[in-house]
Amino acid sequence: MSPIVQVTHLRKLFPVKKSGLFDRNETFVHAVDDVSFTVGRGEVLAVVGESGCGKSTLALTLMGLERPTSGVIQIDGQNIATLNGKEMQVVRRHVQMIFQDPYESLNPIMTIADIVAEPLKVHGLVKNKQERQERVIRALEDAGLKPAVNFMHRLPQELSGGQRQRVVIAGALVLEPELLIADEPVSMLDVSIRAEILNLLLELRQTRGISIVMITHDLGTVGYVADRIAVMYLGRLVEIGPALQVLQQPQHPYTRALLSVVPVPNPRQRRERVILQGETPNPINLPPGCRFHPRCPVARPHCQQHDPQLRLVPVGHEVACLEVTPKELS
Amino acid sequence: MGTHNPYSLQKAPVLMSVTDLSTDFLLESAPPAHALVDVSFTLREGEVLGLVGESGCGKTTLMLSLMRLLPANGRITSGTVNFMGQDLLGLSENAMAGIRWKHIAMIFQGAMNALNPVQRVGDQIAEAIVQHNYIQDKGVVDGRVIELLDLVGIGADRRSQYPHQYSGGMRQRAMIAMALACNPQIIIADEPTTALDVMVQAQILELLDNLRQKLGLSILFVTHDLGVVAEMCDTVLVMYGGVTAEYASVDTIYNDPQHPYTRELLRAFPDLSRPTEKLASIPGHPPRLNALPPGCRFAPRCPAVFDRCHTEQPALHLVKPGHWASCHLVEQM
Repeated sequence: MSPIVQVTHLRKLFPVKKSGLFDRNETFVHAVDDVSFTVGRGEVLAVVGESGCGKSTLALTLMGLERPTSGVIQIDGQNIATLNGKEMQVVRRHVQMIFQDPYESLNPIMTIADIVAEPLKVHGLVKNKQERQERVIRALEDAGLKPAVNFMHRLPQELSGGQRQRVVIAGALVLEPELLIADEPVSMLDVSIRAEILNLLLELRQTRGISIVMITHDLGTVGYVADRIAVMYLGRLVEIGPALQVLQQPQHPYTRALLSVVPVPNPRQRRERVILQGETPNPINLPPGCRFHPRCPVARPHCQQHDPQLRLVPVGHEVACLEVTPKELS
Repeated sequence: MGTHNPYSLQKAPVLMSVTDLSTDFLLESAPPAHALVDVSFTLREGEVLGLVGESGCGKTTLMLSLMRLLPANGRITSGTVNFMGQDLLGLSENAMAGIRWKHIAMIFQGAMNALNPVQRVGDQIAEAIVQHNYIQDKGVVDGRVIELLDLVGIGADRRSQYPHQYSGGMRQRAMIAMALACNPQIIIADEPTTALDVMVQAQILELLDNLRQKLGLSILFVTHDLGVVAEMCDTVLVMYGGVTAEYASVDTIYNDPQHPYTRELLRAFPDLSRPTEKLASIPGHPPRLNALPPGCRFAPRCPAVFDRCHTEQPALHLVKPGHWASCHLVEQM
């Protein structure tokens, strides 16, 4: 079976305002630049990176909410760029997004039942009230709001943050999607309820076979949920591989630095940390060669000239770094 | 980070000692909410004390009570806050104004929103200096602004820029510079890195730790991030429902926690060094402060709950010197 998502050489550039009437040099923000990956059916892929690395643009492009500048996104084997409006709507039904902030993403004057029923109306999926009611109840209960009748007639403000995020998830589930794109689904929640939501996502994968692309900056939690991890820096994938391998044998110096600064909840394990100075450069004037070289602790002169591509390295995952020895082809 | 010796810390003089501090919030048409009940702790010179708990557990109330910055319906009902030989709760408003920022300064959570967007960053820092030190000489003030910015790693040339020209991390640095304007002895940091990326968070934590060492600052570090606490703090006060659940050295809290809430909180926190274990959650939610359960406040969520917990509020028991926990199970040991 084909993968649920196949992204090939995806690019998304945003034009920047010209500085004057006669300024002929158009400049671009390179939000996502030549990114390729696949997501298997029932797989959880975590896309990790700091603010500005392009992970949210990637999510929006996958949702079809931003048009790619170039490259191909295939969802369920269909190139979404070639679809007409009607066909695209069918694809959208199968791809649903969960946003970061459950306080902002629910309409405060709609009841929970209406919020969850809204997508059914938009897609014209149900014929009568009773069927709609049934699907709403099923979605709410699948999202862990049991019994659903206790929640349906309430307003978002009457629910806790964790419950709201469950409503957001129910709103996605009601369309019975095959792919969920979750943009920082737990970063606004208290630590004590983060696990509930992450476990819920894993449960949905198990029971419904849903594939998940999780966008996050929190390396601490990805190990619990992801099958594979993709690390982004300045619009590029710098490392991608099986979750445990990326976490335990990170190869790219950026991944290593990121992992070294994730606080470990044990004072006996205070470690040597690689703190990169400065911040991610702006994605308009990209550094030549490897984009990471100005902040890289192991950069050598050739890193300023050559732009590394993803290559398979000995540990069995792909890394874009000139200083990491590639795997022998045999 | 965290290479300081705990034994030298025990010898350091006590800078602030808080005893049985309680705060109520008066509510319209409801009995007052007991937001803070009998919280006690000491803060030594150079110590970083972590204040931990979920939202709504009383961390912010404690902090605002110390600074006497409670909203209009907040009332401190008992306790003392001893600082430099005087009880801060007994001071006149004027005298208290002389303590705030000069001796105890704050760093707020949203550095994005805490700075004035239409004033140059350098001018905002200068304002803090002029307000609290009564220095009028422009050259002296400007020199101090440059010195403060240098201390937090911002070049002098950026003092004439506006907050929107700063990145998130730089704004937080500017906030820290502002907090240091009057050479305070204590800094209260309220979730100073919550909105920041991990790498920027690491930069800010490193900066705070350097400043602690260089200036001998004591820091009251309010956070819900147990990883940050493990890396930054010497002692930890775990709060739940407005009371102290557990209070001990950082090593004890992480390696020998006695209160079930502390244990559950630790289990719920992701640990990169053990990524394959299942992440636990704490079902339920913290109690509403105006509808507290009759017994232990954690009883409705506690995995080790037994009959007595539902009827009787546990006292804060001494587990061993320097380690307190409020749980009936501790008393039985």
